Amino acid sequence: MEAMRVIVSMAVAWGKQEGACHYSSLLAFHHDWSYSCLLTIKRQPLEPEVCSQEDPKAESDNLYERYLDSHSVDKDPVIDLWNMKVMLFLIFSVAIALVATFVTYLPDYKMKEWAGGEAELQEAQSLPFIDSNYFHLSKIILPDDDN
Amino acid sequence: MLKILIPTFMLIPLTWWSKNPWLWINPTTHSLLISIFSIMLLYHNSDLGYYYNTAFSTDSLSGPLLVLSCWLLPLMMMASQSHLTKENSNRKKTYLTMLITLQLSLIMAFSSSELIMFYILFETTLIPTLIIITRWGNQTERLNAGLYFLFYTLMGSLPLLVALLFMHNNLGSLHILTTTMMPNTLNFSAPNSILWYACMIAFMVKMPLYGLHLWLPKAHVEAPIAGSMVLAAILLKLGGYGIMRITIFTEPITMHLSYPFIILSMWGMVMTSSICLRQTDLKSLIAYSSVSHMGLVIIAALMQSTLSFMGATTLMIAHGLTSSMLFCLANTNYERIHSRTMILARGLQTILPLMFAWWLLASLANLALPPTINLLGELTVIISSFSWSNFSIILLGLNTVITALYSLHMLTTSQRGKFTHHTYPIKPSFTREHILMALHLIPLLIISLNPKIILGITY
Repeated sequence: MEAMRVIVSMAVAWGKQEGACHYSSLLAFHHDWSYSCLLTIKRQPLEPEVCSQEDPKAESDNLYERYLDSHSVDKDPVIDLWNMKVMLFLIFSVAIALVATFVTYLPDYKMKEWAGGEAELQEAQSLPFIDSNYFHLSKIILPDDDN
Repeated sequence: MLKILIPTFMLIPLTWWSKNPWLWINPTTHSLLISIFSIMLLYHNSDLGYYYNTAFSTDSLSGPLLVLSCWLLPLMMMASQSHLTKENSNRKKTYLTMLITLQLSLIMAFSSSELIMFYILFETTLIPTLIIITRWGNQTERLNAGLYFLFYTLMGSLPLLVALLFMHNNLGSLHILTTTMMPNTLNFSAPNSILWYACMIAFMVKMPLYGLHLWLPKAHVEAPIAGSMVLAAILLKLGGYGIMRITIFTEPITMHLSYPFIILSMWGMVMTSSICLRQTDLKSLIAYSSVSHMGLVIIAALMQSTLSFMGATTLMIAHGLTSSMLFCLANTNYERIHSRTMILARGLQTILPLMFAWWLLASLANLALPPTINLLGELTVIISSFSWSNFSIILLGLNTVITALYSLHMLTTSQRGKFTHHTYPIKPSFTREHILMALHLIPLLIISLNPKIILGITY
């Protein structure tokens, strides 16, 4: 019990920076194990001191406190609102619409439709679909074997 | 290509010369406009691709990945706005510059037509990512995470450099167009095996393969939201893209030497999915799920069949969007309760019902629900690996089941059930967060309607 009081009083003493008198009074405390030195320390009402060791910063800024319709882009309500409007316009009306249109109307991607058309032509002439020769052999005109 | 590169480069002066109220709006809006221009990279009318000049080319493999990385830059900027509010203006600008530099190196890496240039840019992407992880991460473990990330990738890519220089010496050129025409005669012998491993190990670390995956949970968890998004969505795909490009050179030895990696990948998929079921940390769960999905991509890329390449490309795009969306959702939790533990923020369906809708759609996409492209990719890989070996379906089917299990576990733990007393005073969802989720999901759904653009070079 006494040890607890000692600890508490030392905490109070170190917590309140009162100046030179406080340090010497602590020395006196140690010296004669009496509590009279404690009377020299000014009693201040104890303020609640919340000191978390891991997170000394204050709580994170609650954007909704200042501005109820916050879009969390900026602290200024006007910039926040207009930034969000611009972003939403650019994203949905410009980016996604243009990209989706581009991708939908890509002309004959990888020439699959052309290849299908060519295969149908070959089938109509009852030729094999693909030949190991790139050109028709009849279309290659070679010069004569003159020395 | 310059119409995308120069505006992206000019985003850096835009960031530094923006006044404070305009600091976030300017780069986000302009990067969104750049991503609209990048959509033109999706137009391919032949199998060869577009060769803009000797340095830059795009084809139907790199086009979708380029569009994905251009699309993600405005999303990353929007996601980072809230955790950077306390920083001073110069630090915010540095952060944005790191993102933009990373974007530049990614665009150049995916559009590079020569493999040495790809290698240099592959390494260049490490530096901004390392800075983002180690400087703006939230816990002290971020330093360890940055170290693991950097040195795992560097140890893997040093043999790749030696192998690329050796092959350049022998073949004369490492340009993608010319090497597809060259005869491949890398026969099965011990020195050639070492050359093959040297080529592959960098991409295996990047993917990551199961045994070399230790950097990924650390880096993904400790990175801030933009770091997590770019790591999960794009940087892992650099590995898959690299495998698909470099196996052009390494035929016919690949069919002999790929066995250990395919087996390790299959086993690793099941292992990491099972680890997901035991995770308490939300971001760690999503990170391990990334390893599991990338295991599928490794299997597909090493199997070298037409169908499997289609599945690999589809999975890369699908997983990029889904995983990035899940990290954004985890970040919305983290910003409210400042902890990544799953059970601390539970029962959110009653408190934030609209965010629950996004959680539901993201989890359903993650477990490859039809008709999303996640299912398209996974099913294509399962079909092609079944034709490679009938027994693989046991492991792949098991992986599908466990993927569904942990996705639903994540959803039910964080969303359903009774909320705790400390959860209900959290702030409601912001419009910015809803926009982020919508922008991840809407491309995913649009592509599901028309998946031919992401089916890759063998379509």
